[in-house]
Amino acid sequence: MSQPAQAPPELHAVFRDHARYVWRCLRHLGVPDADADDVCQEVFITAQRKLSGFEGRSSLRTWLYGIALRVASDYRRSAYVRRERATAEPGEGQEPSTDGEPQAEVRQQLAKLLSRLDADRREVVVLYEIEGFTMKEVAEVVGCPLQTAYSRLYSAREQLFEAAKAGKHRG
Amino acid sequence: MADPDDPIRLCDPGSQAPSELSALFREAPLELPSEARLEAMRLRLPGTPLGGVEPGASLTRSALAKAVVGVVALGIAGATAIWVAQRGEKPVVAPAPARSASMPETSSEPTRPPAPLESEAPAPLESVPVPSAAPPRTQEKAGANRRPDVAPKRADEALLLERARRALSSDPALSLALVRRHRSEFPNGVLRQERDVIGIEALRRLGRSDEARSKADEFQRDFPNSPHGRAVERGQSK
Repeated sequence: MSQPAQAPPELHAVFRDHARYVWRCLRHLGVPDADADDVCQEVFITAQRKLSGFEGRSSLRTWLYGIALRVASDYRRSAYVRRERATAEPGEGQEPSTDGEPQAEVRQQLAKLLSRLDADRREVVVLYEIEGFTMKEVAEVVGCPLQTAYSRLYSAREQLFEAAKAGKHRG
Repeated sequence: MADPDDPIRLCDPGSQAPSELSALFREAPLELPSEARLEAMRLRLPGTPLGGVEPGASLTRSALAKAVVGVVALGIAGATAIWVAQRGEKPVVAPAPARSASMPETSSEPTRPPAPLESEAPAPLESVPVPSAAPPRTQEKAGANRRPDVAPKRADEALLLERARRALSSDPALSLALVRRHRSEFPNGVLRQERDVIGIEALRRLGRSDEARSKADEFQRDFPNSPHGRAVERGQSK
């Protein structure tokens, strides 16, 4: 059965299916909990403008991550963040979310380890190890050659191994 | 997962990571915004009607109540204008209620939004069938808005299953719901064995031991040479 060109996704449907994922990505990208909702909003507003041009060559998740990456980058550069940024790190911030204490502690420990990585390496680790992207998707999303993505992943793993052995995630 | 060229993930068996690190990646729950925050974000999306009803969605009871109030108010205002006009007087238009203008688009049959991948509570919205007041073109559009028009791909299959796996420790009920969704969306997917393994473990963690045992036996019959066979058996002996 031949089908006409597919209609672009509808914003509310995209939000319903991917808002949690986008919000989580923004947290991984260093957006504090206090600002995550507004920045997440910005991602979807930006996505709405671009939805008509979404051709489905990548999955919506990779496409949205690209937008989230740029929006988070703009956020970090904003004057507000420069003035207000104190010690917020990925995974830290106000109360959330949905976990009880033990789970939150586990997440905090992981966040401590991830915060020791530079932004490029952390991004690859988050996308591959946590969000479950393939390495090809990681390279596509972050905009680097596949080999570079592998290189970042392996060097990040070395750092994480050392930090974990030294107990850097505890206390 | 989906790409055989990819290295073993830190959370997976066979990873070279220190066990403590591997456990962190395996057990750390996904941070999620609360439902209230999500709803607040959704209401601020462009194109959300004043009643807060998603275009093409069925009306919840509260949104239906608001819509009914709005329609009644409009009706009263209209009837008043007609009555006054018939008396030959200048009609006085009552101030419109705050949320009367936009009759939410509705579909002619209940629309159950699919459970999002990260949903903590997979139960669908409570919905009320409403005869549609929208023209047929809108109904057609509403029907098409149920999910993004993107064909599932292997990466999506793997991601969904990964969500199920990661939810095992913190929310096995969610994990089981995601497994069911995976079975529905990818009935012949390449990750069927992995899905079954996660489903069995979710049942075990929910205390549904008899079901888990039954599923484990079924798995062993269906996949006698599966590399996951030992993991399934180990899980049953816990």
